[in-house]
Amino acid sequence: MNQEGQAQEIPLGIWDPERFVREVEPRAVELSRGFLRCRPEAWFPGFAAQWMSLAHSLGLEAKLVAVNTRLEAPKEFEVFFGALVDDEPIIIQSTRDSCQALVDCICPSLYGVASTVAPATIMLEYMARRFVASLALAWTGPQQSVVRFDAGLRIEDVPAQGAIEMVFQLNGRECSVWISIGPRLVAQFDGLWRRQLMSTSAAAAEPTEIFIEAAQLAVPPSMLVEYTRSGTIVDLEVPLSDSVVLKQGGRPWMAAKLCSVNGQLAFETLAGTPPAPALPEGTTRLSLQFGGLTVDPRTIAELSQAGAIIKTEIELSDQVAMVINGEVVAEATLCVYEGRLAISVN
Amino acid sequence: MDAQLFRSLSPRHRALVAIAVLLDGREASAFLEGDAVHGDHLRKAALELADLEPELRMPFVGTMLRGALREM
Repeated sequence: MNQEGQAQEIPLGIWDPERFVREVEPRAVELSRGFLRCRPEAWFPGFAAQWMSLAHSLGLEAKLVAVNTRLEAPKEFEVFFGALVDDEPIIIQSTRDSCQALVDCICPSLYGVASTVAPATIMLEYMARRFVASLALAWTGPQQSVVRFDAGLRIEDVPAQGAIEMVFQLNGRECSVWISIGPRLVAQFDGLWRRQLMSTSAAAAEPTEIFIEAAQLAVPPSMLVEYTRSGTIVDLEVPLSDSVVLKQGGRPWMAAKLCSVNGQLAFETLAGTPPAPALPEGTTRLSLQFGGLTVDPRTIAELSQAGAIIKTEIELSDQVAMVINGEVVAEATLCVYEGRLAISVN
Repeated sequence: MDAQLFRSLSPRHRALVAIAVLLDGREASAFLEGDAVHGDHLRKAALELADLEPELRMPFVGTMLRGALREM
């Protein structure tokens, strides 16, 4: 800690939030607590069974390795098939290598799958039809949909708003299928996941306040006045990062990363419980906070998922509040000192 | 064994139905009926082939597949 008189000697840098905080697009925030966290495979429990008899008869060892939801599919695919779900187009797409792996498993003599070799192309089309029909048959969501394979659909016909990646292992070879889906399906998955989350969580009934803590200090009570005096510079001894701790009821609740959405502060929750370091005896906890927000029980349940993002009403800046026992005692500016976070008390 | 419905399909659809029946037998009809335009025809053609005597079905469908591919 240095007093104002000595401050000129300290090579303090500016903590520029635009440099240290990741910008996130509003759509990512909107879907981060539903669609992007959902596990679609849970709504298609019979999907694997639809393929069991075929895999058995072909002597094929097939395994679904992962299912991921994304904002969009990569642009690297060479093989496409279209379908309609309640008249909304979707595109099933894959790479040439993945398709070759599939064809090799079914009929190894068919060489050059994604070229113009007719048998391989038709076999892939049948596999795509089978895939679409299997998904339709295995769907256990709240409302039934009409799913049709549409050989005439082109990729530009799909107003893709999200994508689902399915990673398989076929006889030890990894391959993936991506499904680009439109706004109605994205909203359906998003809403379904959020409703399920709410119905299965034991969230509090009342709105809760959450505070975003950049760092904390253990200060001897006799030095509190000096720490909060204007012009004081304190090295927080925390490496520069976008990590913060979310506090609920004065206790660490979740670890998070700062981000920004159109100039507003936001945060993305991380997996795991943040550490709750014990203070040395006889010291007071001085918390440095970006601010707080009040969230309803539904949002609390949604934020409990790692990767959930919420935008606050706090403007993105380098200003933090110095808080003791829930009371703001001073304001400070975040700075950079030798690659670590520091504050300069306002 | 005239397989009229099957023979009335385009060569591409004949190849598709033949591959489907070779791989999935009777179940192929359920996977083909979801076609946005030709679902009913494809389903019926698949059932027509799948209903053939098992010992005849494989060689017959194989021959039909080769024929369809030649026409494509």
